[in-house]
Amino acid sequence: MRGAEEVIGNADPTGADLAVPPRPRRRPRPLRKLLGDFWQSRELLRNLVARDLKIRYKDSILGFAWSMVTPLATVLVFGFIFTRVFEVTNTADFSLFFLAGFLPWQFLSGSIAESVGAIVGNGPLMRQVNFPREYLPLSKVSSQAIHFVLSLGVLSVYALVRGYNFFPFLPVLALAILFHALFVAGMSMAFAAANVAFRDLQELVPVMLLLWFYGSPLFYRLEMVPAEWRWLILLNPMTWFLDLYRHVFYYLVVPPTKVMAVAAFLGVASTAVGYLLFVRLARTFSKEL
Amino acid sequence: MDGQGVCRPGQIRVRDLWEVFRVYHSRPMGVKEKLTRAQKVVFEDFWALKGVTFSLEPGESLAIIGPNGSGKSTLLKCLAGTLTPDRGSIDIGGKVAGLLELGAGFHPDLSGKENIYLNGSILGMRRKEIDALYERIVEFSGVGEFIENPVRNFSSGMYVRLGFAIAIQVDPDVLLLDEVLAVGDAEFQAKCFEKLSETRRRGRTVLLVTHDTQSAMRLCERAILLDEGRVVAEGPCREVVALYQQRVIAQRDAEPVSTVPAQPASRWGTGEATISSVELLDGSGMQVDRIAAGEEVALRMVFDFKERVEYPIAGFLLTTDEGAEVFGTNTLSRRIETAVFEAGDRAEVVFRQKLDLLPGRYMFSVALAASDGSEPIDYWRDCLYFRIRGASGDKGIVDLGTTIELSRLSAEPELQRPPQVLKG
Repeated sequence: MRGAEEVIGNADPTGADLAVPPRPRRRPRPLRKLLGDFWQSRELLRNLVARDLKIRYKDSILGFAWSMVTPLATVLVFGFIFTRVFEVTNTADFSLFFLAGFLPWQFLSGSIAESVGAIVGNGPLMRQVNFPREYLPLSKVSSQAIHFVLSLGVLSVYALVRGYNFFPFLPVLALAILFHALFVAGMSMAFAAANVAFRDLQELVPVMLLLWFYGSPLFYRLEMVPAEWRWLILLNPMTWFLDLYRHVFYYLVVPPTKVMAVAAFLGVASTAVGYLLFVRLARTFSKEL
Repeated sequence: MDGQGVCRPGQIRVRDLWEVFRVYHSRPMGVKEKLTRAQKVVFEDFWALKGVTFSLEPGESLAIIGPNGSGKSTLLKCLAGTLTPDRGSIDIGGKVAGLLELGAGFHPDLSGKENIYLNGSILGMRRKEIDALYERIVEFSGVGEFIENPVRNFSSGMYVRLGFAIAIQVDPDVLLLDEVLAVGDAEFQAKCFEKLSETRRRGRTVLLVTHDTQSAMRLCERAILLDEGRVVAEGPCREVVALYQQRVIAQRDAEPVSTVPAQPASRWGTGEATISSVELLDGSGMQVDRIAAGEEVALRMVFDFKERVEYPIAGFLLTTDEGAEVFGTNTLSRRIETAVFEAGDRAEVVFRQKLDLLPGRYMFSVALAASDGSEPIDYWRDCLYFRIRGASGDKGIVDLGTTIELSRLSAEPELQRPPQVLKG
């Protein structure tokens, strides 16, 4: 038994008198192990998604069907306003044009809006158990993705009814969803992590999303933007993803390789940067909450 | 939890662990402050753990004890992996589960059942594994048919019981418990103890943070004593607990007890005379505020008379610091006739008594009253504090000086043996 030989006063809380050992170097997790861990705890991700969905639709009668109400209502409202009131004539089916961009937009904005508080709002859980923290924002992204796919179902029905046969472009759609989802996941992780140290982000996000909404070619086509400002819209990553979706549902053409490549790059880069940022900041989560 | 250490399931190696918290005095959390830097970031580094080292073999049980703020919970959180070590390393073999906060991870809007599945998967279990354990978890928790209700409708006891039931049924190689046994009724506590002992017998490692030295000694063979982030003592639980108790007592006895001169918490009276001082003196006439049990002390009061007072009564009341009356007496009840005092007179009264009290904090109230006892002339409530030193396993307030004799009444051959062996 060691005696009480080191009864030291904590007189200097700054720790200046402490012989603190040097900061150790950390090796990052190798990618194989990372993916392995991810696969190991997939069940957790599933349960977190289930939790979100259950809570959201707890006492609602329509439940899941709500994710289809938005596109339906949008079709009706926009179909009326833009074709009858504003008499938009340069776009064959404005509802379809708009929805093919708006639904992907909702996937992004919904994911960011929900993820930004995903870490801060789960303090007790984070203090209790160790699990991959990135699952908290990713579970939000996943539940938004489920809504997105369901609403695409409604869009598909509408497109077919209007005679837009997009079936040949389903492989493009799959790639578009993949790249887009990677992009959304990266953004969501970054926002969730940054919000821990910078709580204003939560309040900034709605404003930011509003600006981003109008900065994305949702109501307009890229060609309608004055040529000297087009570069600005092209800097917006969403422009590229929206273009992909519109090629599938609206233009019914295979998108140019350049668009595919840019979207793929944006997706991978966003996930990589978002994840690295998240992991870097995650070390301090338990202390900050 | 990487590193060179290859730990068998249930094995723990903690090497020179340091953990720092940043304590902000003024922190710019907003954009405005961050952008303009109008406000300086002022913080101090607070090292909650300063080089903690220990290791445990599978099947061992360790109690982590220490005063508040000594780093116990921080250490447990590092082991659980919710805090990353700032310096040093932790290697743990096998599955780790614990109950660090009551029912944390429960979502209030989900039912008990849904929370079991969610919590189980957070603890790293597969759906099938939880299916297999589900009935046992519900049964152990004793939550009954409430399990289908949202946990926000649970009582706090049910919350804890369910949390504990999950943590223990998961059957981790290392079980971490932070001060959770204190909650729940006696029956559930007994069940927990039993289950924990069983867990240990099956070779699982148990770490327990607690203030309750009794349960620490019941559950753990070993203990470490933390103080200000350092391991101060390490060894068999009983010895470490004893050392801890000595330290607590030593620290408490060293605390200042009273203010000198005595000050009443409240004071009233008609004012014909005033109490000018109250002192507690030991046998040698020194003022004291820490007294050994059974010691004889004198309570001395000095009065200054402003007017003529005939045969006043002087007395005191001794209470515990919770206000329970221990003893009170006065010159009237002891049939001591005082005198007639004129304005300007000064008098002293000394009460001598033996304080056969149990360790703790006590206080005196003193008074001078009119001869018929109807009205106080000067009353000082709770004016003098003192402490009876030491520790005792006895209950109550006073020490009745009990002596204990034990002898065997049946005629047995070993009758001549010392009476302590009365067993079997």
